[in-house]
Amino acid sequence: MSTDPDVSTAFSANRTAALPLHPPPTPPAPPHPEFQRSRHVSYWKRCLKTFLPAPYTPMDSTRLMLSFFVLSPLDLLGELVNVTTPAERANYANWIYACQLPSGGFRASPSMSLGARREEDKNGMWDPAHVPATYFALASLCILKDDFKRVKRKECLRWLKKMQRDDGSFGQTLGADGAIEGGRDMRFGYCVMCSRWILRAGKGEKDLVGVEDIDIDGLVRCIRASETYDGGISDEPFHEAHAGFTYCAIAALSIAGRLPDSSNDTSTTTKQLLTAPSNVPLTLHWLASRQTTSVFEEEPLITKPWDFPSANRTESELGLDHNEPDVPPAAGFNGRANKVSDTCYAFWVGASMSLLEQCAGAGGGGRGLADSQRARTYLVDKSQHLVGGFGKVAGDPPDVYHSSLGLAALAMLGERNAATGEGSGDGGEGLKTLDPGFCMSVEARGWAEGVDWDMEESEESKADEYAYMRISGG
Amino acid sequence: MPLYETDPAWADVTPIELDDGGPSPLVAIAYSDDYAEAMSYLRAVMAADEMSERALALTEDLIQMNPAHYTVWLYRARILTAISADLSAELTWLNSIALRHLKNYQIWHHRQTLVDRLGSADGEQAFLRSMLDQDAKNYHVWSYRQWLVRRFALWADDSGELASIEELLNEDVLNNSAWNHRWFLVFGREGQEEGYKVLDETVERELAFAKAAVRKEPQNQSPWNYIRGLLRQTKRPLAEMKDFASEFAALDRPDEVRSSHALDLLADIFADEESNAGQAKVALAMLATKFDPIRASYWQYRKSLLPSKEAPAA
Repeated sequence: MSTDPDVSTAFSANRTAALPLHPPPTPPAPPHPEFQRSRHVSYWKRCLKTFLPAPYTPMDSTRLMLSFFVLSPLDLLGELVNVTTPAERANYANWIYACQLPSGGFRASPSMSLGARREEDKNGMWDPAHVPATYFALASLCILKDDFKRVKRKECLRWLKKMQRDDGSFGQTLGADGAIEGGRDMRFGYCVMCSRWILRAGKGEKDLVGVEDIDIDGLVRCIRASETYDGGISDEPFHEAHAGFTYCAIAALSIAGRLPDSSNDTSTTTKQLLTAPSNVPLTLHWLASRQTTSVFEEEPLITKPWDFPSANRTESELGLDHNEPDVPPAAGFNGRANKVSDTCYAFWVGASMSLLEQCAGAGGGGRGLADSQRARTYLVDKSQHLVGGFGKVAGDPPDVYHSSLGLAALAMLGERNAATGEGSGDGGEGLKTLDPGFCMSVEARGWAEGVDWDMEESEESKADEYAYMRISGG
Repeated sequence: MPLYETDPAWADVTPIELDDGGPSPLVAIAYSDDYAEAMSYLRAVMAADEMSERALALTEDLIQMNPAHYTVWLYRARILTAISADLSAELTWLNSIALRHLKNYQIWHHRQTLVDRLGSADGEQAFLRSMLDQDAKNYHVWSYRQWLVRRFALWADDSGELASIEELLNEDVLNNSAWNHRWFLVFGREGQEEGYKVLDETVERELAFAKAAVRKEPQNQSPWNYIRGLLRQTKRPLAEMKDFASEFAALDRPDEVRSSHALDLLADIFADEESNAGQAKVALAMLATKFDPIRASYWQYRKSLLPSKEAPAA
């Protein structure tokens, strides 16, 4: 054994032995599936309060993302305030603020911090502010109902502006010689739009004077250039259509108010803004095509529904509850054509459809264009795990990312099923209403609108800061 | 066992320990002591912006444990330049890392930097083939492959690209990534090479290829999407495909329907035709009730967009 005095490693050795978070594979869920609410609460409580196991090491560089994916489900379950004390929540906020950089934005993880040896001009590129982490930090602060007094609003907005390239795309970090590093993909544009919205949603304008905004037309052009021949959206022109990038593009457009509006009133005097996607029916077609009864890798990817005897309903029978044994009752979503269902795409595809249906006037009376009943069955019967959480594909052990997005998808579907009297009958699985564009509860997103940026820093938050400085020896 | 603390080569470096931001860190990870120590030394050499052989070796050690550490790759690339390292050797090392970590973005960005500097695509197609043997739909590999084609102008028919795609589609006609790359090879060249235009005969060749693929597996959405894309791109009417689609679905012979995608296409063709909305509705109803019931809501929505049956009173 190491005698290394480093506190974190001492803890890790200790905790690994005591708390195996990921159990060995267990049998599949029981035949009549229900949303196992209390097991999900236990799963998330463990993720919040104990060490994540060593296989999470490759996520050590993106802990702010991980922390959002742990806090948000507890918020959706309405349990965050029950499983934590106000003091703990204040400390979580302090932990997030410790990742904020003086020049704006947040680093992606404490493990990147160069501490007292950090000098912006000399080595700042090795400990940079990170675009997705900044969104996850701000969103987590909304969930924690922080007062935002310590957020470097003006600096952050100026830095976000610097992260945009001439072609309209955004990068991930600023590297050596001011180079914009990271791919050109939609994830970064999406995170910028979310961060910008949160920073501009509250009351108080005085520190926004002279802050140059990002080029939204540029972002829209960049998204249009990445539309694919089959109607999806990819990360760069000509790459394969992918539901994750499609979601990021559609959600960014939605937040920017740049989705085409079906009820476009031509009599209004507002000038025509550039919108995307350029062909909404085609994109809806691509999104609708993502739902699939292909659930297990070893099964054939192509199914022929007409071979099932029960697939012979009349139109008047559609939408009724069918329990014929031959029609697969579960249908999840894939992220690309001819792939199997994967839990996270229930959110990426479902949320994209929900946002695009609104602008296409295709709400379907609350039902939506996907088969939300089969989608729920996929999540609850196929990918929900006995210990709580969701696996990536049916039969997998749960992980933080898929468990979080699975729950977000269920919150979305639960509402839809409740609206039409289908599903579990408990009115949306007892989950808070989800905002599909921000991937967090409507309540948490709304917190940003109540922030008063002009208000002086409260004594309480100053006290939090002092408490942290004492602990960290600052 | 501490590796760096006891190593004389590292005696002059004061590691930067992790500061986990207070008494209640979120999502702390139970990583190994080796990882914690290597990270402490990485932070120290990064703080000094040290460009050295030992820093390069340290990045390798860390990448083995955490290949998703994004700045360590950028740092490594900068060191390689600073010490004029052998980039071919770096590429060989990278191959083994890529084959072990299939779902990693940074590896492919690094490869792009290296191959760009080396200025040669030699061996790349063979290596990509070995990657695709493990996962024929690996998004990073296909993205990198597009970059490679652009960077080294591998557009021509003798570049091996098109032949390789045909081979992959022969093995698995459902591989949508291969279909997408095929589209890129045909249409991505425009705008890259001055004066290049896609020839009509190339479009015909592509239509024929996609039709043959449909005959092989009529329920495969990839070639149907490809056909629709070809027509849209060249501004030709969908109606050109009416006879072809009818081979796989006819409204009056529901027992012989072999493809929901053919019905979907026919619905669009009928909807475009004057006074044929009725037939479009029949096709959409067939999809909703029997041929694609999990998309029933979607097909019904499509139906709701069609003009209602009753003609307005004169």
